[in-house]
Amino acid sequence: MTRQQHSPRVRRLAGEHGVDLAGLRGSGPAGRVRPADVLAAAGQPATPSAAVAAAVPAAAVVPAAGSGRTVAAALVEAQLGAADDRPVGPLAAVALLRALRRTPLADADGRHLAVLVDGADGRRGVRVLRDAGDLNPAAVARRLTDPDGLAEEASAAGDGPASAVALCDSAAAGLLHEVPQLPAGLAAVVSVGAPVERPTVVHHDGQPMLAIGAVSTVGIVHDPARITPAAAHALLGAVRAELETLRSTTNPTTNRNR
Amino acid sequence: MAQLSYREAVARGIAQEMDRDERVVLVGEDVAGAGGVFKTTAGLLDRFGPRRVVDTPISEQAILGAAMGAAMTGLRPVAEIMFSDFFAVCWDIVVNQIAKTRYMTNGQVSLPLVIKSGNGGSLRFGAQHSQSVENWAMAVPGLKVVSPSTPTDVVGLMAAAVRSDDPVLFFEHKGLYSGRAEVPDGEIVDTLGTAKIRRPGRDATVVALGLMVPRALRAADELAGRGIDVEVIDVRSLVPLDVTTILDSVHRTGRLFTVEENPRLLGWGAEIASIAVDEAFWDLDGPVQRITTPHIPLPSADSLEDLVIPSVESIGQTIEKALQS
Amino acid sequence: MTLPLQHHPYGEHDAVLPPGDVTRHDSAPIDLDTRLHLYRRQQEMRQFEKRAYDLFMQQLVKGTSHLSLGMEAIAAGFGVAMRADDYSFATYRGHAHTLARGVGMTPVLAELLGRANGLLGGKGGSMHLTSVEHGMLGSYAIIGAHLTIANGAAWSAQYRGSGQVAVCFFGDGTTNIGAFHEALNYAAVYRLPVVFVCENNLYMEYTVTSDITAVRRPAADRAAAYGMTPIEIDGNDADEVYQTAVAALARARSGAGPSLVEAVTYRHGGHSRADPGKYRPAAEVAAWQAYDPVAIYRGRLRRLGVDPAQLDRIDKEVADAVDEATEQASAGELPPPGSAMTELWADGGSSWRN
Repeated sequence: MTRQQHSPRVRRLAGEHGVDLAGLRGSGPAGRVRPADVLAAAGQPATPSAAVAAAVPAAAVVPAAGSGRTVAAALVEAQLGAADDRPVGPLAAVALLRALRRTPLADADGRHLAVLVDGADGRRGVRVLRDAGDLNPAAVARRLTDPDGLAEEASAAGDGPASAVALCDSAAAGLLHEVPQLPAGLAAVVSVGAPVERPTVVHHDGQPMLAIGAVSTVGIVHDPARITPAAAHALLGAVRAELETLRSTTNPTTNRNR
Repeated sequence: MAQLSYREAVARGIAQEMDRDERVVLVGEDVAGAGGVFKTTAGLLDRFGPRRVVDTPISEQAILGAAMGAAMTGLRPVAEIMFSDFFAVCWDIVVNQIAKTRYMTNGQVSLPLVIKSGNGGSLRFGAQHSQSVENWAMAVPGLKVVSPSTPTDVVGLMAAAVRSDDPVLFFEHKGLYSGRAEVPDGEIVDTLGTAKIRRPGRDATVVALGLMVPRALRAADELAGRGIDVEVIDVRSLVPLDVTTILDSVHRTGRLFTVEENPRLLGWGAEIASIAVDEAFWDLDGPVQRITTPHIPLPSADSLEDLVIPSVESIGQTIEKALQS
Repeated sequence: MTLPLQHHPYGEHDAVLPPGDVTRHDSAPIDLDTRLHLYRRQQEMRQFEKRAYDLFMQQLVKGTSHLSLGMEAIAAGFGVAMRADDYSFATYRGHAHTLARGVGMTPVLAELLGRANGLLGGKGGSMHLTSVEHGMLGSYAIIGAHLTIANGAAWSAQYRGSGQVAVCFFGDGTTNIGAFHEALNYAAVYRLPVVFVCENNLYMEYTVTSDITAVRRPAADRAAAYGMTPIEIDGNDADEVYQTAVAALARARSGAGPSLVEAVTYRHGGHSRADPGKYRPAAEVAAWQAYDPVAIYRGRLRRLGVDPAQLDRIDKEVADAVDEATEQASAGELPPPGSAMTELWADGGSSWRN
């Protein structure tokens, strides 16, 4: 008996990639259509991050000269475990908030999330997601795409930014790494790049093993007058640790019934 | 690093916390002079003295009531219920008093207490000394529930439980007491509400607790030899539940199995399956399956007990069959 | 098997009558200030409970409530004798025990009305009145459990060497449940600084206690089984209660261990508001209504030369306080909906997952 029923995952992938399941031959038991079959029909590689890697330019964005302020930069690599096709930006946002809650820096204490956003005029602005400290990555992702969810950064005189440490989601632009300009008023920007597949070493039962893992670059640009290099490096390490704990982002479907 | 048995790790975790905080006290039947019927509290009386390590009569209600009253008034007690089956004897104190009092008093009362108990079967102790009762606790709002599967986790989760200001039920697995493993030196403090991926994999997510964790890992090794690569998650904490780790994994693998030692109905795996089908529906590439003991009391004969509790073979066969259909 | 209702029809058992002499403690060595304090406390409890009854009949108090009308002397006698940092524990019949520790009338009444300004924010209700800051560590709806919990508070006081004592109030029905027996043995073994007070009002809910208890004095006749001295007192004479309390508290504080006190009293009303109490012999009810602790105490103060105008003033102050509490409680807002999800855990939340 051939299976005509398609699993929810198969149906979702077919919808996302515009694949018609009607004529599709499946490679699974009894001709069942597998997710990989759908991706193959869509011309996608079976593992999504290979697609990302193919699209990524090698160059990184460099801040314009003459910004008039000394900045320092550093970067690390975060091991994200097995490959995943979900965005790493919201994950990095949660990681940053958690790291700041543990160790507040320059009055950023993990309650509000500041993000760099590209305006319609091509300029970069800073927007704030208020009271984001308890959100999980899926919730952050939803609020980031909701135009009403972000508040304009307070720019009245005397009002410091709601968070002096902002996130730059370079991964969303398909970049491996980016060194963004440090906007006025911010003490640091943490940027997260698109994950790529790399051979890595994992430990199982205390034994090292070779595995294919996803690796993402996490960088920080900071004003050393407000955040010392030591503190910036510590924040970077904390963000990496939180990111590796979170591993991959939560499910983009709705989270009800909490 | 040192090689420690699970039971030694229990004593080490309690000692670590008693050393650190004068308010931590230990109370239970045979915990002091005898070092515990399972030797999980050996050495603590000598180290901390009879004022802090207390032997009690067989009075489960009185023991847990005393722990509650002491926790309300400045102490941080660790109370033992010898066999988790005995929770039934004092369940009023656990679910009507300890679980509810903070809520009913709108936060006036804090109950920073830990109840440790020997849980689970496989030791031929029969139906009244072998139950997995963590689900009884999971079902009642107001109780945190953990069940470690490794000696390191025992130390770390005991520390987290003692340091938590909420009531925590700490389910030790009797069948794991003699297992030994390397445990790092120094202070170990874990986090409640976190699951751990013990073995990463691609083809299926297998969530297990307690004794079922090492069995699931051995099943995973055998399946790997047949080309099936499963991810094994040690859920460790039922309340709070680390849904994120589990659903992240399901997103990657598309298949979910739970391995539960409890009798079938309303085991913790049913809740996880329900959450997955609700929140990860579009990630699922096949039915969610629970691998459990059937819905019976545990028989005492070794051959029968081994037959009904999920075994390495039954776990592997169920997963393989499901993935190939 | 021999059954009580084979020996007498329901509600027609032998009556138990109160003591005859109301003067025997007139010359007790208790100073007048303390006595006036005892009077005021009993008045507060009496008038408060009457108001609670009225509000229940107007259906402003929902669910059920268990009133202490007629039993005020026990709560007042111990309340006045206790140290401010002592701990008290009561059953669901706990309004008087809460007021006895100095908790204001408004939050207690507001809690009965289920308002946000209630003692528990509307989360606990009549049966769970608690005020940690006053040492009132709770009213408990499952009888017997709180004896074991009182032991814990006593253990903590003993461990910390603070000199605090835990006092635990319960009814005659409690003396037959398992936790009672576990708690007494446990307290005796560890010589815990705890005083167990049985408010024997002769009835276990709707059944006469003597029908279902193996011994005549439900608490006093169990004391010896746990190495304690039997103590039976007139629970309607606040001076007798006060003196017993002072002695028991001193004993506990000195490290000599627990006491079990049986104080005989009587409910003016039924077990709860839902119960009209038709199972008690009419002659018994009448005799005990006449042996009213508040009236007894007023009579004593008069005999000791206290000006009735002074007592009337106290009565009026209490009446005004009850009226003010009624007004403030009734004006209280409903609890905010979100509060249902708060304070399950120490972090103030109720989340069970991430």
